[in-house]
Amino acid sequence: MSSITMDKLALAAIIIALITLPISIYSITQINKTTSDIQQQLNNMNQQLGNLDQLAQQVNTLADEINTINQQLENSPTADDLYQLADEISSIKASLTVLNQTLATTNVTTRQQIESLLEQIQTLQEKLQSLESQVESLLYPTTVVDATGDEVIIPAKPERIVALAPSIVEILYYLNATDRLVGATSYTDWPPEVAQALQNGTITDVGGFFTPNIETILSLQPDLVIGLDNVPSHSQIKEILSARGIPMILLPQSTIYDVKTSILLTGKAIGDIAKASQVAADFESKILTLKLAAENIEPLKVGIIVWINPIFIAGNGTFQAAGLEQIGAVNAFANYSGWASISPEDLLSASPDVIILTGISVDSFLSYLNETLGPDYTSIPAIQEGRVYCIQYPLTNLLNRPSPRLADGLLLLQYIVYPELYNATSAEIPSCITEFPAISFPAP
Amino acid sequence: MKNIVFLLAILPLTVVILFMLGLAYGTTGTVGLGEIASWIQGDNNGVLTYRFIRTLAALVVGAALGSAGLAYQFSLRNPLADPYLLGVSTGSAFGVVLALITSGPSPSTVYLYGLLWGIVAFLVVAGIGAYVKSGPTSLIVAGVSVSYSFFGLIIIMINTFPEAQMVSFTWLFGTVAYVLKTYLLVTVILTLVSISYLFLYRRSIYALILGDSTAKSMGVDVEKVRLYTIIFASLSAVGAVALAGPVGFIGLAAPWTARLIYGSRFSTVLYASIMLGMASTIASDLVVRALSFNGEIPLTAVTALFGGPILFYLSRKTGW
Repeated sequence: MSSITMDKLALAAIIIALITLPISIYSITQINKTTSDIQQQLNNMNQQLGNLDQLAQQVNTLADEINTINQQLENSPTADDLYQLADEISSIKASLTVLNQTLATTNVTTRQQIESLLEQIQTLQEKLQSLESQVESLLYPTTVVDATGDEVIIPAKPERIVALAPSIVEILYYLNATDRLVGATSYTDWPPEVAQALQNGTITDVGGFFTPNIETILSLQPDLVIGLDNVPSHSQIKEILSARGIPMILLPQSTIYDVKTSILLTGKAIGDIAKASQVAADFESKILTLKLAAENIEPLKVGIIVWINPIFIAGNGTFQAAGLEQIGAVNAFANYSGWASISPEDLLSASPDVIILTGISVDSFLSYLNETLGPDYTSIPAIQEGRVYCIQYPLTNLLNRPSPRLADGLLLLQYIVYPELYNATSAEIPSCITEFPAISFPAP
Repeated sequence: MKNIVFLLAILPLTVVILFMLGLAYGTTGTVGLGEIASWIQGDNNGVLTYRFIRTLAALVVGAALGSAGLAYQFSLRNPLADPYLLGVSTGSAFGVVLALITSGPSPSTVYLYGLLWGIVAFLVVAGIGAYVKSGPTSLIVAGVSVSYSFFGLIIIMINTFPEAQMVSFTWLFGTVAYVLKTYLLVTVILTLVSISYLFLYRRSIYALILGDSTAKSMGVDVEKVRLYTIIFASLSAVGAVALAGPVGFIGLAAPWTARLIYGSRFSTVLYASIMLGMASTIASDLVVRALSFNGEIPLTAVTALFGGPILFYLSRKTGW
């Protein structure tokens, strides 16, 4: 009996051992795992602490830079120096904000060091703020010579800007200044956030492009109003506003290069010349790559038609026409100047190779020609080759506004006229372009 | 005698010669007779097809304005009446602006709206005139008032909608450069109907200029004849305006000149006025073509610039 009991006990022990063995092995590996986790966490912590050191170092560098600026300010800087300082200040400001955010999201047990860093950043920001207002007080009053040759004095950094043309809103967007926009023309439809703000009244609608409402402009108490030099009412408004001490500048808009001038003028007026020269250079290099891309191509005669019955065309002096030259094409209507209305007879003799309609459908254009010229209208090369295209709203705005977006418009134009430069054939281009195609600027 | 030769030979010949010039000369240069001949025989020639429609439009507009202006001058007993006096052109301009706003540069909508609103404006004027019933003066006053009201609306619309601004570039000052053949045909029919009525009822219309009481004593139903004459004359006026916009001065100067030369016999003067209207409109359009080196200039620019001095000279010569 007892031996049987002993055997049974031994068996039970073996069974228990067999069962618990894998469990214990598993437990041991688990413990190992936890320790490696802890190890990793410790490593992370070290790394973060290392990061923290790095961040602290960055804060110190920025503090040094701020001190340098302070010294430069004391050494009676020139206007150009001031613009550079203003630019440096805004870039330091941006870095500090990024640092601040990084620190706020860092979650480490040693909060002490972070707290002290944050404190340090805050004092730096305060110092920067005072430096900024110091630079601004030295920068302003600034004198801007606008498109009319007038010297417009802007007494302080503009914080309440009114833009009287959609192109001006677009330029301000490129200069990151739409947050200072208090009023804009009702024609504004880009960028979407500004159009939205205009809709819900955050930015005030100051009326039509040709017919702005002076009372609304005055009620906004702007410290800078920007208009265009060739709109009669804008010049009149400039007189009225300057009599009331509100500075207003007029931007040029007759040539493609006026876009560059407009960007720089606006940049100087709003106190961000560094950003402006960057945007202007970007625009210039873009349109230059377009010109270079078409250098060795046989130029085509292209006609841009903006209206039918009567036919309105883009003649010499319009920047659509200048755009054609820029993309390596020839304006079919080069012997007209400005926006001219021509007869169907004149269209026949202009014989364009490519016709681009803006905002008109190809069908209504062709039926109009059939009505006025009879079946002979098919003798126009563009119609023979099936190269009549229409560009639809809002893409048309890319071509008719003197803003940095004009570069995209010219890219689209070059794609339509010379698809071979973009590895496409003319058959692949839809006769009506409603969306911006998947193309990018050619490599220089 | 001299006048009859002028009337029957020189006037029609002038119109024919001017028409040929209208085919031969244009903004892109001159075309020879040989080319015109082969085009008539059926050669495809877009330039000549276009110039033919354009010149024919000038001819039709001239005839419409010449006849309508004369009918207005007789029936309203006013030597300075022109086809736009009763609101036709401003009503039509309102229609064109409305068309541009609602459907853009669609030629059919522009023509139809122009036609429709010209008629609407005239009907309002005629309605007021019939309601007041006090003769030609009240009709003229009604015409001027309705014109001004429509003009006010046009100004508001042009300043509110950018697409409406296109109206002021060309249509508002008249031009035959953008005429489409389908609508030319409609205007031709309207003008023919109108002129036929005027010739058929020439005696009653002639009586109107003698004064209402004299006309009544001759057995003419003055009110009825005046109303019908104005309605039919307005038909061609509205046809011309919808086709080419309010071409100025022809509708005043052609009848005036015709009356200066041929006195007051209605049928003779009507014929002369139509011929003079055709000739002066085609001639003006030829000048327009010569001046349109940078895009088309409007027709009224030329009719007013040259018509004014010519009218003054003729009036002085014949002693008013």
